[in-house]
Amino acid sequence: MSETASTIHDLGYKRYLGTRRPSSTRWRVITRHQIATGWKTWWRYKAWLVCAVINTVVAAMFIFVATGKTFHLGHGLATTFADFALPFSIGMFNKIGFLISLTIGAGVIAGDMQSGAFTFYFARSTRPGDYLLGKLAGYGLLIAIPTMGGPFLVACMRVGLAGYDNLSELVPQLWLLPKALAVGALSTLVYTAVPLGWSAMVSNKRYALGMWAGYYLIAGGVFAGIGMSTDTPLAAGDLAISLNSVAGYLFDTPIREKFMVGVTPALISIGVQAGLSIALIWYQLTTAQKAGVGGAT
Amino acid sequence: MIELDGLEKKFGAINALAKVTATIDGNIIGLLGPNGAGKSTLLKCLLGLIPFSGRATVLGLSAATEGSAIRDRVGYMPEQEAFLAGMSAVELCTYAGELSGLPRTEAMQRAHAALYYAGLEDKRYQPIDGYSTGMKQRVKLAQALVHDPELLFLDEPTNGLDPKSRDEMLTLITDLPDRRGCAIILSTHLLPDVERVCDHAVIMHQGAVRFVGTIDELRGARGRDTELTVEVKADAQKLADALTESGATCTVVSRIQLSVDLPANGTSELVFRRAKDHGLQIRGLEVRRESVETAFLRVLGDAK
Repeated sequence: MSETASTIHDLGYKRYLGTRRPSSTRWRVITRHQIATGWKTWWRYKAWLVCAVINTVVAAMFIFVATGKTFHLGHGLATTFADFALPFSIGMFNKIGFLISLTIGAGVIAGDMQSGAFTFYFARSTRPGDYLLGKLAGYGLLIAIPTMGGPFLVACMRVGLAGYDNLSELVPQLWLLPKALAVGALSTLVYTAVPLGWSAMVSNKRYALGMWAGYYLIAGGVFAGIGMSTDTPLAAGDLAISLNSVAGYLFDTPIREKFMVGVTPALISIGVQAGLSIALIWYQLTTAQKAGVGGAT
Repeated sequence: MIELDGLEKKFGAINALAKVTATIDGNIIGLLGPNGAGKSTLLKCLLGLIPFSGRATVLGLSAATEGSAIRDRVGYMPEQEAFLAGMSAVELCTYAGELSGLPRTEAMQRAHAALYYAGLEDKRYQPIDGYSTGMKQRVKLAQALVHDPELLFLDEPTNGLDPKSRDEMLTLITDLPDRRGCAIILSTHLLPDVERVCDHAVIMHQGAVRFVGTIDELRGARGRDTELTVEVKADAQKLADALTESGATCTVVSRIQLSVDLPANGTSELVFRRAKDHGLQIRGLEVRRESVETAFLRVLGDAK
């Protein structure tokens, strides 16, 4: 063995004798890391969170200031500002969810594929299920804050600020809370699972972003156009229409039928697209786990 | 450390590992073989990433059923880049430690220690994206070390390094078994690296293990003491002529050195006798040993 001039730096090595956390908890580490990564840069997440806060404040103002005033939607449809504030704000929260999916979601898995991070994960005791659960939970939580937390907050304000003459008027309004949570959960599912699915399609963040944006905006628009012109449930292929339709149904919002699909096709569309996305991610992960490590010579 | 018993892995009609049976032990083990020899497949089997038939145990754990536990006790330094975009070295290594089951505080302390050991010092706070190749190799080593593995798989650890960095990396590799008590399996193209740091070697070819043993055994695997390198005070040519007359085959290397292949029943006694006959003084005589590269090619040649 030849002599070398290089120095060994050692801070005093000691073998680790403590307990290791069970492998079933690895997903939590990935979740925490995903949240920290999303939170890191202001324009990826915090900017949209500010938009969500503004949206909540505006909705609160309408509910509080213009409670009883009638809001004309055209085509003979009308509602009060207080009743319209919640579904309208949900539409805005969904738009914010889509924007977050562009700045964070589309790059989550594509970025890991691009940087070779699958090898980093799967050469350890991390399993594909841990990765999938960790990413879904971490990114899902980031999405849920505006898309689920926002509607719930507005619903709370709708219940609390709108002003009621007696308790019998208030009690039926309490149903708005679980309904807002249900719609928020659906939005969270859509803006978490589907962009992650597109993210797992290519190992390039920009391509993944372009594909997801194209699918949501262009393909969704095509589905909506065909569905509206043929009066078929094909419009449910547009995720935004599906979400608005479910929200419209739950909150009994006066929306022109042309711009809505039935709740069943909407839920089927959301379920199928989210399911396919998760299945695609799973396939990519299990393939990557087997291919990710190897020798060289 | 690693025991293989009838390990077999097929990909369709291709037999990637053909009933491999071997016991692999040592401090620093070179895993050698041409492309397609089955090394990658062997590593995947040992880490419990792909199903196989037969039996394989790593550190006493079954690779078939305890892959996750094995990966907690094994470190892997990949050949290709395997980082997470936008992270600093210390963040990456802390995350790696946590993913291997260490508590966060412990993972962070060990990340600093591993990066310092790998020679990154203050640069460990900078984003990895801006690192040079040498620094990236050091991060890869540190992330493989952070969870205190008992066994390290190093895949081309000196790839792309300049001579100084290569020397430093090999020094670290040599130091690891003594300082940290972990064994190393080194997969590399660079046979001089193997010659310098490894004490054992495993040579694979066409899905089978062709050689397992110490480097000394590999280099002297023919077990012949009839191949000698002889050093004389002067006039190697004269001794070569004399030995040739006695049936030996000689090659004069320099004025004072020659290689001698003795006849089948010859011993070194013949060299001393012929030197004495011609008034030549023997300064050195040793059984000629192959370089690891020559031995590697010979093992592959024998396997064909």
